[in-house]
Amino acid sequence: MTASAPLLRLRGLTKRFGTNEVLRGVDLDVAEGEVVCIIGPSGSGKSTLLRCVNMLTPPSGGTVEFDGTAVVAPRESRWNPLAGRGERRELQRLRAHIGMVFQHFNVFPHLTALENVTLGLTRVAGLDAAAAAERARAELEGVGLTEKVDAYPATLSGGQKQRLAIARALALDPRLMLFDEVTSALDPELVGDVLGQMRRLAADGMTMLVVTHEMKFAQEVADRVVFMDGGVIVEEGPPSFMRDPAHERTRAFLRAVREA
Amino acid sequence: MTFDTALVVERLPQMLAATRLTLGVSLLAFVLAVLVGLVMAAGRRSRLVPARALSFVYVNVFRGAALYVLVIWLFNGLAVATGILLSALTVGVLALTLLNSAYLAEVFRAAISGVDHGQWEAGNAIGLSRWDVFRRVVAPQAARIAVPATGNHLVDALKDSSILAVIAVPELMFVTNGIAQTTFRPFELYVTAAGIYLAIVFVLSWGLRRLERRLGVSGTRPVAPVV
Repeated sequence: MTASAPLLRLRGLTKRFGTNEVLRGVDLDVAEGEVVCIIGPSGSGKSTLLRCVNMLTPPSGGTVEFDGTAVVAPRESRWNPLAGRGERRELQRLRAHIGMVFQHFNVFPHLTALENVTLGLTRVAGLDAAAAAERARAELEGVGLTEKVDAYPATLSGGQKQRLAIARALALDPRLMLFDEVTSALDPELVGDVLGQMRRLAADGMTMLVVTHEMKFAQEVADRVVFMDGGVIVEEGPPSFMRDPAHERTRAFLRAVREA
Repeated sequence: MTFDTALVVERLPQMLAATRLTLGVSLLAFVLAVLVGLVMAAGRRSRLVPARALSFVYVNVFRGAALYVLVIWLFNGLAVATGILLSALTVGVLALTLLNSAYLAEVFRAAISGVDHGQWEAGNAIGLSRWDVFRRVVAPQAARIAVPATGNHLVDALKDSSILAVIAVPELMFVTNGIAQTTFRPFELYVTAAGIYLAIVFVLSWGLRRLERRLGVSGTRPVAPVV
C-alpha cells in the first residue's frame, strides 16, 4: 500500500432495511491500483457495501470518500422538486469515475453492443458520435467482442454480455471498478472467460473492489482479501491469510466453500 | 326481408365523409391521451406528493367516468356549473382524451415498472442523469411493453367516438342515425356503419401488428429472456 491517501475510504458504514441491519459499521480503505476482494456468506452485507460506494444503495450512516471527495446520496424531498439537484449532479460526475459490473449484467437489451458502450460516452463523457463510436470499438476489441459490435445482447452468451458490461464501464475511464458477483449468473464454462478479463484489468493496474465467490481468483489476483459476516469485516489481510484464518467464522466459511 | 343495396351505394359517400370526422376526432383524442397519459404516469411515479396526489385523483376520476355521462355532463352540466360553453366537437375530443388518458396513464406506469430495475441501476452507475436513464434506457423498453395495450385504446377511442352522436357531432354514427330516420331502412344503414368501423379496426390492428413486429426485430424484444 502507498503512503498517500486512499482512493476510496469508507468509514463507519451502516445500512438498515427496516429492522434488518445489513451493515453494522464498516471501515475500509482501497489504495490506488489495489485489488481488494470481499468474500463472505450470502447475507453478510458484502454486496450492500459495494452498492454503498456509488450510492445505488445509500447507507444509513457513515461516510464514503472517493479521491478525497465525499460521495453523498442526493436529498430526496417529497415537496421540493429542486431539492438535491446539485448533489445529484455531483454524484453523476463521481459515478462516471466509478465503473460497476453487476451479477445480472444489466446490459441494455434494446441497444447494440456498440450502442451500449457509446451511450455513456456521448451522454456522460460528452464525446461526439464519431469519437464515441471509435472509442467504443476499441473498448469492445479490448474485451474480445470485435465481431459482436452490431449484435444485440439477446444474441450474446452470458460471458459475452458480461464482457460487454465491462467494456461499457471501462469506456468512461473509471479510476475504480466495482464488481458485484459478476460470475455468479454465468454457466461454469463461461466463468473463466470473465475472470480472465478481470485478471488482465488487474494486471493493467486498475483499482478494483470485487465481491466474489471465486476463492481461487481472490487467492491469486487480490492484493487484499476482506472477509465479511453479519454486516462487519471479520478479518482482512493478504490473500495468504485464507490458508490459515484467525477467526473461526472465516475458517468455517472457507471450509464450506471448498467442500462445495 | 330484402337488403336494399342501392340505398347503401347511394348513401355510402355521405357516410364515408362522416367517417373522416370519426377518424379525425378519435385520432386527435388518442394522440392527446398518449401525451396526457405520459404526464400522468410520470406523476404517479413521482416522489413529489402534489404530483402523485394530482395524478392519482385524475386517473381514478376519469377511469371511473362513464363516457356517455362524461359527454353529456361536459356538454350540458359544465355550462350550468361554470358558464363555460364548449362546442360539441371540443366536448367529444375532450371526453375521449380524458377517459383514454386515465387508462393509458396506468398502462404506461405498468410498462415502466415492468422494466427490470437493474436497467435503472446500470444507467445510474455510468453517471447518466435521471432523465437520460429514463429517456435512453427505460422508456424504449417500456414502449415495447406498452404497445399492445396502447393499441387497444386507439381502437377504443375509435369505437367510443360513436357515442358523440348523442351531442350531434356529425361523425359516422350521427349521420347514420339521420339517414336511417329519413329512409326507414335502419338495417342496411347500421350494417354498413358497423362494417365501416370494423374495416377501420382491421386496418389499425394490422398496423399495430406490424409496429409490434418491427419493435421486435430491431432487437427491442430479445429472442431469449435477458437475465
